[in-house]
Amino acid sequence: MAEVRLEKVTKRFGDLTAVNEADLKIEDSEFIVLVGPSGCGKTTTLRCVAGLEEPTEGEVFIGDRVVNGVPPKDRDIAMVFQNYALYPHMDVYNNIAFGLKLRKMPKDEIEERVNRTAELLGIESKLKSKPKELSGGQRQRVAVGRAIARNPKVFLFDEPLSNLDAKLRVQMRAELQELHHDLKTTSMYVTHDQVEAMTLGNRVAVIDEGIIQQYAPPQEIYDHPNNQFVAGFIGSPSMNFLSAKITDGEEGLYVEGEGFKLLLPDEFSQELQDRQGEDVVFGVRPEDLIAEETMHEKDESTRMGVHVLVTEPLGDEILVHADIGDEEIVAQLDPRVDVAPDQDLNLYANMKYTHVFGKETGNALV
Amino acid sequence: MRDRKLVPWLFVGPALLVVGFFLLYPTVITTYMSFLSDVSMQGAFPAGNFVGVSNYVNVLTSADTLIAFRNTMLWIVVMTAFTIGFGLILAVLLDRVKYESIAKSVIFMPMAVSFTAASIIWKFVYAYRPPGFAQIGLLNSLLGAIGDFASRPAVSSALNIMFIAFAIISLIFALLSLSKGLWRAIEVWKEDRRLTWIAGVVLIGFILIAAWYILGFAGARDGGTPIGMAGQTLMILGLIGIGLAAIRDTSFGPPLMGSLFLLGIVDFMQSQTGFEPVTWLMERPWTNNMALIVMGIWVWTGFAMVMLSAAYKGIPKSMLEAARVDGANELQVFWHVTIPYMKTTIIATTTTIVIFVLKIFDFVWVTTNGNYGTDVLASLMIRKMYSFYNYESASALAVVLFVLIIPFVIINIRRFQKREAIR
Repeated sequence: MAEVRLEKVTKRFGDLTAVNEADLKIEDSEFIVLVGPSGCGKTTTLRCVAGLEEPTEGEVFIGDRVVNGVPPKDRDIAMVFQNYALYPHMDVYNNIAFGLKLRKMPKDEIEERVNRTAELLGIESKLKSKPKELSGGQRQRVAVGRAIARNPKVFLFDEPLSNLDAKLRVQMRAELQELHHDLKTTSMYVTHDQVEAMTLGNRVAVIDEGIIQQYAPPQEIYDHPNNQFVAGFIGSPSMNFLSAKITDGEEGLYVEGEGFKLLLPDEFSQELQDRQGEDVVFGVRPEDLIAEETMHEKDESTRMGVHVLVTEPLGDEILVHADIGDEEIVAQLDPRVDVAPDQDLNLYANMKYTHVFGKETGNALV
Repeated sequence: MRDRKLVPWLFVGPALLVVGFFLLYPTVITTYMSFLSDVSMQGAFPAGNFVGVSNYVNVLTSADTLIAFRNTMLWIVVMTAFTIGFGLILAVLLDRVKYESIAKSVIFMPMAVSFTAASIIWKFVYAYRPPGFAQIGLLNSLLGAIGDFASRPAVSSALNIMFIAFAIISLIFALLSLSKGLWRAIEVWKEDRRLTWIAGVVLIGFILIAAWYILGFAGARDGGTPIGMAGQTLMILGLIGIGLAAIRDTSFGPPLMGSLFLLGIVDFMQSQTGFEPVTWLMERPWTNNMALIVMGIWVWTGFAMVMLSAAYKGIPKSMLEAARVDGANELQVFWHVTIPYMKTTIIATTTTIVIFVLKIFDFVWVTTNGNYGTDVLASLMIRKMYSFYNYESASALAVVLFVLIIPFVIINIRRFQKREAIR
């Protein structure tokens, strides 16, 4: 086990900068997730740690050692690939044992390790099977087994669950969590699925256009996104963004846009005091919008009058797409709220959990 | 119902007729003929005295057929091994080259030339004129030029110095790698005894050969033929390679290989002094047959390369990366992952080439006409048929050839069916 550190790692492919000055520190036995839209550079970052790509600039540390220029085989890492990348001509036993044999481990120790790994992953009965005889979930287990049997310093996961069906994905996610709990190996996990990011990571790095936008524990990322990209990327359905201005009023600062004028909580006023009259982006998550019927105490200073366009009843909740001014907003409401398309509706914002971003920079102002 | 049964036959009918007349009928006639003597055609059917298997006994015991069998075997083994080997190496290496498609086109080009034309090209390469005449053959004039160059006084003494220098360097690296190899072998002893035995045997062999090679150099140099010397050098390089691979220690391998390679070149150049033109197509049995086989390799390497390159490109990159992360070096990736993954294509290509080589004819017919002990089964068959009018022996030979080819055809068809079944 070891910590992993990236210092100002940049990777360019011709004119394209895939990773831009990434600084990332993964503590010993930490599980971190790299998340971002496709093509954002998260996989390239992982491959730089694996040694499958060589950074154009910057240094990668595993433990205390700079591993730039060290081939993957000498980095003592293991990687699980999206398409499993099992060796089709070897049975499960040999797939898992391959890395051990290359390290010239004695036969009986190999056997012991493979059996222990297979037991851990529940694939003991499949050791004699070829990969093509296995189901997707079993193949994934073999791929994971191949990684853990070697007991490497670092695990690298490259979207390992994205080829599985939804149900299996949930199950394997839980198994991976459990596995990390047992083994405590330093892990880096790449995914575009924010649910995986939120559930698996001790910390999450949200990446966009090769730049790490925010690197923090999942709840912090959810509650205090650094910028508009992170705010929009994490959370489903994603955060509503409305153009607005900061204005002064008798009770304090207001955020005012077309069709709404909302009183900002006192905590916000200090940061926003100097920004009166400035154009900003007001962000509110769908679940922080509450319908009039389900409110106990109505606070008129948080009311937004909207015009309903579409409703999506999901059983445990109802998603309401509505117009406010020229912009569209999504609210996640209690399913008992009686709402139909084409009606007017009053929504109340939970102002404590709203966000204000700079119009130009997109950075969080509060 | 009747229509349904009739319609398919209507469509297949013409094809069946053509196949029957041009393929099935001649096969049956030929097979029948191979059991007769004093054959003459009575209408569309041969007539003669039934003699049982005596034609086969004749064919399988006569000296010229035995030579043809030996040569065909030689063709199969050498040509197939080299075309597949070169094809594989080219497929893998060219994959990393920028001008891949151009390089591949050039290498594949001979395949587009008719075999007869290729044979004529190579006939010029091997052409011979007696010493003292201007050599028109590429090979003889090239070697002659090297010989002339090497015998210039300045070059000759430079070569002598280089020879000693490279010999000493090679010796140093050989001893270094030997001692390291032995050390490694002792270490490995604790882990895997079988490996140590292999390493030990190879090492002892290596020591003996190196000693013989280095000690016997002076003597061997004067008496050796150019091909012999080059072959010797190559063989020793190969053995060292095997030795190093067996003890899995290659740290001194590259410099050793490099200096031995240069030593080989110097040695080769020295051995060409006073070069006498060689009658490449008449030196029996090895030189001329190998010269012919080289033509086959030249033509067919492109085919093997194209087939294997397609398979190589089909390998998922992540699987190779997984192997690298698993701890394999490039050679191990190639051996444990790439080759097994390409196995089906390698077998299919091999059988295709073997089928072709069994029927090899053009190269031999055009260049030597089967003289000087270069006959192969097909050329011998044609000769028996059209030069000696020996229909019986020719038919028997044809049947033998047919029987030899059948297994490879079956393998190919089976593979094809398997692939179809997966689809």
